[in-house]
Amino acid sequence: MKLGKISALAATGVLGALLFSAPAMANDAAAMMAETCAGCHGTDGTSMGPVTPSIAGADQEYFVTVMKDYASGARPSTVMGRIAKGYTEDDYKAMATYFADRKMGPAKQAFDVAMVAKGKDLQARFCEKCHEKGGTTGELIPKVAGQWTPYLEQSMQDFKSGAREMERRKKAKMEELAAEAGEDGYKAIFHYLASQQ
Amino acid sequence: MLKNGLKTDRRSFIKIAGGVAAAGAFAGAISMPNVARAAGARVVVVGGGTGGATCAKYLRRADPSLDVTLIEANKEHYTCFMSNEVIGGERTMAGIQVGYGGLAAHGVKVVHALVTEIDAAGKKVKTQDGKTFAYDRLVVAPGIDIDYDSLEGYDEAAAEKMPHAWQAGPQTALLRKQLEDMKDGGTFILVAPPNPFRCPPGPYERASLVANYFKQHKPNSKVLILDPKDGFSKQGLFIQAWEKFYGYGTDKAMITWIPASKQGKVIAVHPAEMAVETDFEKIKGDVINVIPAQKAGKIAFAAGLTGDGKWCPINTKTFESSIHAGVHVLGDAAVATTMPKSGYSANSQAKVAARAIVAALQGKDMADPAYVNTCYSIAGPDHCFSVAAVYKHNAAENKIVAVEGAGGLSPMDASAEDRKREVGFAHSWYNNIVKDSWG
Repeated sequence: MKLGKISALAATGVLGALLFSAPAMANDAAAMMAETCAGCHGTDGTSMGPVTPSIAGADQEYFVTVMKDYASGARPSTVMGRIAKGYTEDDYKAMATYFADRKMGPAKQAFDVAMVAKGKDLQARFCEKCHEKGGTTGELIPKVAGQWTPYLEQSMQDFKSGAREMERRKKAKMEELAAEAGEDGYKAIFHYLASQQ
Repeated sequence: MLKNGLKTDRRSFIKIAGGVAAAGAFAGAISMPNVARAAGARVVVVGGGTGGATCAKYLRRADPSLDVTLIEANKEHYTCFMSNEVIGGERTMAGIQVGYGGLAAHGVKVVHALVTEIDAAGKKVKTQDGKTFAYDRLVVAPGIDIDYDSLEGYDEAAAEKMPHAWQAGPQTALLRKQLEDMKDGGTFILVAPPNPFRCPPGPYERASLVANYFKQHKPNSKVLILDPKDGFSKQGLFIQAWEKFYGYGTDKAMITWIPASKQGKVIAVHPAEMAVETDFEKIKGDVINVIPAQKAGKIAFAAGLTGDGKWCPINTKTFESSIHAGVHVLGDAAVATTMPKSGYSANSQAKVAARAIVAALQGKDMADPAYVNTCYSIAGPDHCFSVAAVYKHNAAENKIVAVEGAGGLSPMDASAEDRKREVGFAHSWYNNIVKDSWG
């Protein structure tokens, strides 16, 4: 099924190249840029993990915002700040379009079945407003369902430490969650998100 | 000047041929010039390391009508990256082994044979078992060979006693075995190579991980690095890590680095005595890792792709050889100035080369290429750092140039948490690059 889709896309690409050379060149340039990410983020942006996140299927606007934040240092990083500085905003947009068109393969990772139900309930009550449909979608936010857990843990650690800024609404929700369920609450949510494979 | 002239001629020729082919197709002609045939065109890839494997896969992704054959002598590949973890005892040989089933799933025809001859004029390659493979475009990605002529006393027999372990596989396992068998209180000598060589930070990562192994299991043992250079990749970061973990610079140092300016250059090795010789003295070791100078893989020389030098000159946009038209050389064997010889570089170059080949087969100009290199070095427990670069092509100078203001090293003052996170990113990088290249 997946192969069929790739072939169809590629066939369209070849036809497009023959008929409209300039857009095809732009597509090729965007693809070449996006393909350089695969060394760390996996072929077509689906990461083999365990820490580097998948970026396939990312919301385009979110992708561009993240790259800008890495480049400016607004979002802390080990290596992404250094990489993000190598591209223009148009480059970010071109890569964002490429990855938005790719489907994210869920992370193949272990999770605790016993914690999934609790996580699902907590996710629905504390996260769902932004991380919609069980964390599979949402406006201007990352897809967290099926994302690598160690990556989500690091992100959460950065929010808690203040290394990453949070919107007030998000901060309030996280404090409510911590007050009700403590550390185990976060863990349960991670297990629930990991269970969506 | 002459070379540039030839290149321009070739490009115009391809364009003209493409035009003729298109006109011919509209006129209902049945013959198409070879240079402009795209659908069903034959691409042969020589070498199934990181560069060759990636190129084969990405050729099929860019144009599934291509007939891509990858010819590689070995049935399994051992990645050089992370082989230092095997040598340090943190990973098994199985943990750096990959097969070719993944490429077959992408429609790449994988043939296990040794290519012994390339006929660039006749557009065909021959293998040791007597088979001939015709191509429309050829990719040569042979990696490195050890330059045995560069160091007195060092040859293939010596490498069985003093392994280089700079091509992963049996050599890696041998060096690990020697370290396991070494008595506590022994000396491990690492003879570092002169520039340019595969994986610039690799020797120093290896020294770190061997010291880490000694610290845990053979605490009275020492690592001695003898270097023909006065500096090395990520030097500040390595020395900082060595001070933190291995007492570097103190009288209890587990790692000592002797640069060229302090007679660190080894001029001869003596396997029978398990000793190496500098201008200054003869030094005995219990385990000796000799990493000599390197050169492009054998087939590159046999095919005349190296010209007068030890590496293959190329057009850095298309990776087409400056010597033989229709032949693309990438990865460690190529002169891809200014990218380092690394696995990430080879993977990145292979994708650009794949686009260049597809464009050439279709008789078109290719889009502006993009390249990246990121390279992690693990220097101790939960301690890793990286160097990264984003590259663009500079046609006027035929160079792959790092974008200014981007890339560079992990900061010297990074937190312990960030050093630890980079270990996780290094391992994730490994999983991803292996899958991206072979799977």
